[in-house]
Parts: sequence; structure tokens; C-alpha cells
Amino acid sequence: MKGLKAVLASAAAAVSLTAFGPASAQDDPFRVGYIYVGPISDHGWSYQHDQGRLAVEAHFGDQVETQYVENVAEGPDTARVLRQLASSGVDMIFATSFGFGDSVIDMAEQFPDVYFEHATGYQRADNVATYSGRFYEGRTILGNIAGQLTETNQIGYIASFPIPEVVRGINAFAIELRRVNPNAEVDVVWVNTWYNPSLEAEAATALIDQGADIIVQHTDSPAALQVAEERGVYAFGQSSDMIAFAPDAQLTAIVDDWSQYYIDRVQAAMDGTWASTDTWDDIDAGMVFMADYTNMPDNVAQDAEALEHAIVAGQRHPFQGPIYAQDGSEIVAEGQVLDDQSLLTMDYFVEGVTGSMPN
Amino acid sequence: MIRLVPRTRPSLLLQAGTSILAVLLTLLFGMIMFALLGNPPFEVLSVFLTSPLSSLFDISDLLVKAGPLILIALGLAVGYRANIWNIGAEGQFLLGSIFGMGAVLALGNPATIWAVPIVLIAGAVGGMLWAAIPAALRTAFNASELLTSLMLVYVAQQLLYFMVNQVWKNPLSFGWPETVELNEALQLPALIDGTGIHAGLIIVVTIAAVLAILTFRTTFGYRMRMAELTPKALRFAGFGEKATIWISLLLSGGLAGLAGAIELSATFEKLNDQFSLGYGFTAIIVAFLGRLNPIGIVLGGLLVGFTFVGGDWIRVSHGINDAAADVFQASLLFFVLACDLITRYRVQWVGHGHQKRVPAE
Repeated sequence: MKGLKAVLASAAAAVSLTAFGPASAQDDPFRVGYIYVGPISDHGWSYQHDQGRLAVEAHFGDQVETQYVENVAEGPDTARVLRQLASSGVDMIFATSFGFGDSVIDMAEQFPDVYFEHATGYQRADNVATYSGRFYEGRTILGNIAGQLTETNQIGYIASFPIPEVVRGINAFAIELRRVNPNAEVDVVWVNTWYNPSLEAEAATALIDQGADIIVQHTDSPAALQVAEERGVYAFGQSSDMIAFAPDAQLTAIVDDWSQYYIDRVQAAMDGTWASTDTWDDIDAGMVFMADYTNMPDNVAQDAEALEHAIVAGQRHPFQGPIYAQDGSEIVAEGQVLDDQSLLTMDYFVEGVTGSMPN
Repeated sequence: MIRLVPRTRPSLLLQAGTSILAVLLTLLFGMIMFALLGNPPFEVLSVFLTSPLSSLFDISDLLVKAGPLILIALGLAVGYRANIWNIGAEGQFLLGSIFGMGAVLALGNPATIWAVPIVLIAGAVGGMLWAAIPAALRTAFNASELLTSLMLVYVAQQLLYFMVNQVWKNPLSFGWPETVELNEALQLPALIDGTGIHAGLIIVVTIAAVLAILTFRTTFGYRMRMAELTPKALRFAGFGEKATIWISLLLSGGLAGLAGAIELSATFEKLNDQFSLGYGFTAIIVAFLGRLNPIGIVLGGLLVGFTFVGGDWIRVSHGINDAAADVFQASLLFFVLACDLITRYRVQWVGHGHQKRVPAE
């Protein structure tokens, strides 16, 4: 009986709450919405964006109110969620996956007063900005470490979609890998998804079964690292420091840090100084950083650190010649580097990558 | 022990009563779940229940979601009535979209609205061809269409990936697996400007009406309904077993394929690797929600569309986890189907004392 009374009392309290409406908010905080392609519990890509969102909350306090919607599918569903966010009074929306692009452009047209920001995208409009990190700088460092540590000379690479972002990462990795170890090869497996832990784990298992002793990934979950940990091979964290999932297998991780960018952009929107920009920040700017170099001999860790410093100092470019295509022809001559335009449209593999674009 | 005894004639009052009971149970379940998750249960429920009808855009979203579900379920129900279990509509839907896109490209992506019927017919043909495989395997080798149709879903998904990654990839898509966009003339127009309510929905309503008339107003429909009442009916009255298998699978495959082509033309406007949203599977639930009856299926499709939009809204308004939103959505379907059982069966409690004992040797 007591239990029933308690339930009734709380129900009554809930009814009276709705009847009188929620307590009125302080003068209209600036509202920021985020949509993620995976769950924030992916501990990778979406998780890092959510860390950025939390940094915005911590920085602005009561002035800003944030919210997020996770697991938003790339397709017509994207537009629906964006419209629901915009029509519920959100002032600014960060859409954090490549495949959200078309929907962002459509909805930005319908809601000209809402600021849209699209991560890793290339389409902009008056109220749509794009932003991304130069993650490929980190890939170069991974290539250096892998080239020194591999014994089977076979690196397994779990890739999502053949967009320039992913292809560029594979190539940056392969170029440095081959510079350090001309016999090593990169075996690419396409999983056609950003986030699907069971598929990612299956891909890792298959690659290890085929002889890979180091796993690299361009997907969002730590599933592949967990497989690597179990099977006693090495792997690299992706987007986030995943050492907790693979304490003996993670060599390092390319970590995305969106906090400063998000704080700056929200500030600009609140100040009225926001503009449709295209940001592509690097390790030097702090948008990308490397997790601790672990599970490797000191000399390898020192090489990795030295390479990181050289990249930050501008002495090393991940895409400096000579670079050869898969068929051996020269793409970039000695002393040349690829410009940003070539990087943004990259659709070919370099020497050292086995396999082809997905089918 | 519980025993279910079929009712000879479910009363209308009972049917209405159990529907209300289902809704109440869902609301109660939802309140407990949302409260346990630390959300204000009444607020969340009121958003879920009111937002799908709160604006023209939301009604449009609801209809756009319901359209393909209804169309696919209408076809499935015809077969289910004769115990032909096509559960691979998702694959037939994808083949419809692939054939539709094939027609678009074969015609050169023309700027003429007159090509739209060709695209839609191509979609239906694609779905029929895909469903013809389980039909042939069933009639020739007695292979279960339940397994073969399901397996072909995975083949269809791989075929889709292959087409958008290799054969038809848009060279300007930056590697993203998708085709070029359909010429604007080939995109089914919006019936109300600015919304997603598209002309394809007229096709859905028309087909539902035709099937309803066929079922309730013709001798064929009458015989079909009678056939359903006989246990393990594997034939429509007037047709042999093989013909029944072929008709069921071709009709359901064709409508699923048509739904795929309509989705291609009206909402996606291009083919990409995200085309599979699970409509073909959800439509199975819609078919049963509608009790395999065309009018019921329209209502069932609208209800499921409603839960999609409401489920999205509580994610946006209260940050409800999408898994919790899905569970709530599914709980409504669960309670509706569970209560449906009560209308069709009487629950009889059979105590141990009444059981006849077999004397021990």
C-alpha cells in the first residue's frame, strides 16, 4: 500500500508540474544543438564531439543551452531531425558527419536565421560553415610507428567510406609506412559504415587472420582495438584516446579536440560576428593531438615524437614527394608537396596499398 | 495452465475496448520507463502524442514514413492470408529502387515528367523479379520462401553497395557512394508546397482502395477470405497451390519494388548506400497491425508513421536516448498485437486439479 501511495503522490506531483508549466527560464539562453551519426558512447568520433559540446556548456554556463541527438541516420532522416531542432528554437546546429551535408544545405535554406556548421563537409552557404581537422598529420605518425614495429609487414586498415577524407588518411599512413619500411603493405577492408562495432570487430578479426599484426581504423568505435588486445596484436585509437579499451594494444591514438573551435564559433554567433568559414586545423592549432606513445620501445616513441615536432614546425609535410601511385608511376616529384585542393579531392591509392576502392 | 480458445465472433465492443487498453498499457509502460530514465513522464508523453500532428511538416513526415510501409504491407498481407510468408520485402524494395535508377539512367535522366511512370513500372518489375526467385524455388523444389526471401535481402543489399560504389557512382560525389540526382522532372512533385507530401502517396491510397474493393466487394475477395478461415489454407479459392504462390510473391514483390521506386523518386532523389531503412521489415508489423486487411493496414501504417515522428521528437525535445525511443515505439506495437490476441481468443485457465491424470502403471 505504501508503494502505491508513493506512486500516486509522485504522479500527482507530475500532473501539477505539467499543469503549471516548467519554471520559466532565465532570459533566453543561446541554444545550440548537435547531431551525431553514432551514439556518444562510441568512445570515438561522436564522443569527442560531445566532449566539445560539454566544453561549450562549461565555458558559457547559463548563457548557453546545449542539446544533442545521437544515432542520426545519413539520409532523409537527417533532414527531419534538423528541422525538428531548428523549429524547436535552436539558434545554432553542429552536424558532425559527412553524410549530413545535403540535408544541412536544404534545411539551412528553410531556416535562414539558424547558424549551421557541418563537420568534414565541403558545401557552404550564407548560414553554413564547414570545419574539420587535418587528421592525416596523425596518420603519418601512425605510419612511422607501424613501419618500425610490424613483423609480418602486413598492416590491416579498416576503412568506412571511400571519401577523400578516408582515402587521404590511408595514403598519408602508407607513404610514411613505406618510407620507414619499403616491404610493408596496407591491406584495406571497407565496412561501409562509420559505426557498427560488430562489423568493425569482424573486419579486425579477418585482417589478423590474414596475417596483419597491426590494425589501423577509420571507423568510430573501439571494437577493433578490443579484438587486437585479445589477439595480442597492436592497434591505434581513432578520434579519441582508447587506451582504456586496449591497455596493451594501443600504440597511440589520433585525438580530435573540438572544444576550442566550438567555443569560438558559439561566441561568434552570439556576438553577431559569425561568418560562413571553412576551417581545417592541424596538430599545431590543437584541433588534433596524439595520445601517449605506449607499448613500444623507447627509440620508436622518440622517432614518433620527433616526427610530430617536425610536422608541427612545418619541416615535414605528410604529402611531400616523391609519392608513387599503386602502379608505380610518380604522382608528386621530389621536393614538391600536394596542395590542399589535391588533398580535398583525393580519390586514388598510393604505392603500398593493396586492394581497391570498395565494392 | 493457460489455454487460448478462439472466439467465433469477436465483438466490436471488445475490439474497441482492447485497442483502448493497448494504448493505456503503452502509456503506463512509457511513463514508468521515462520516469526511470529521469525524464518528466507526462511531458515526454505529451510531446510524443501531440507533436506528430502539431504542424504541417510533422504530418508530412508522418505520411512520408507511412507511405512505403502501407504499400509494402498491402502486398505482404495478400500472401500472408494464404500462408505464403514473404519476409524479404526489404530486398524487393531495394531491387525496385535499383531498377528505377536503372530506368532513369537508361533513359538518360531526361527532363520529362512522362518518364516517371516508366521509372515506377521498372521498380515494380525489379521487385517482382526478386520475388520470383523464392516463388520459383518454392514451386520447383519446395524450398521455404520464408528463408529464401530473407536471404535475398542480404544479396540485394550487396547489389546496392556494388551499384552505388562501382557502376553508377557520381563522379562529383567526392567518393561518397551515391548516384547522380534524378532530374527535377523525374522527382515526384510535392502535393503541398514546401512539404514532403508527394504525389506517390496518391498511388498508395489508390492501390489500398483497389485492394479493399477487391477484398470486400468481389466474389474473388469473398472466396479469398473464406479460404483464409480454413486451416493451413495454401490457396486462394479458385486458384491452385502453385498459382497462389506465384500470385502472392509477385504481387508483394511488385508493390515493394514500386515502393522502392517511389522512395527513389520522391524522397531520396538519388540512389545511395543508405537506402535500406528497414521499411520492408517494419511493413510486416504493419500488415499484422492492420490484421491483413487493406483498410486496417492504412491505419496501421499511419500509426507506425506516427510513432516514428513522435519518437524522433522526444529525442529532440527531451534528449531521450534513441534506444529508449525505439523501445517505447515498439511497446505500442507489442501491446496492440498482444491485446489483439484477447479479441480473437478467450483465455482459459486450466487448473491442475482439473487435469485428467493418467494412472500410473
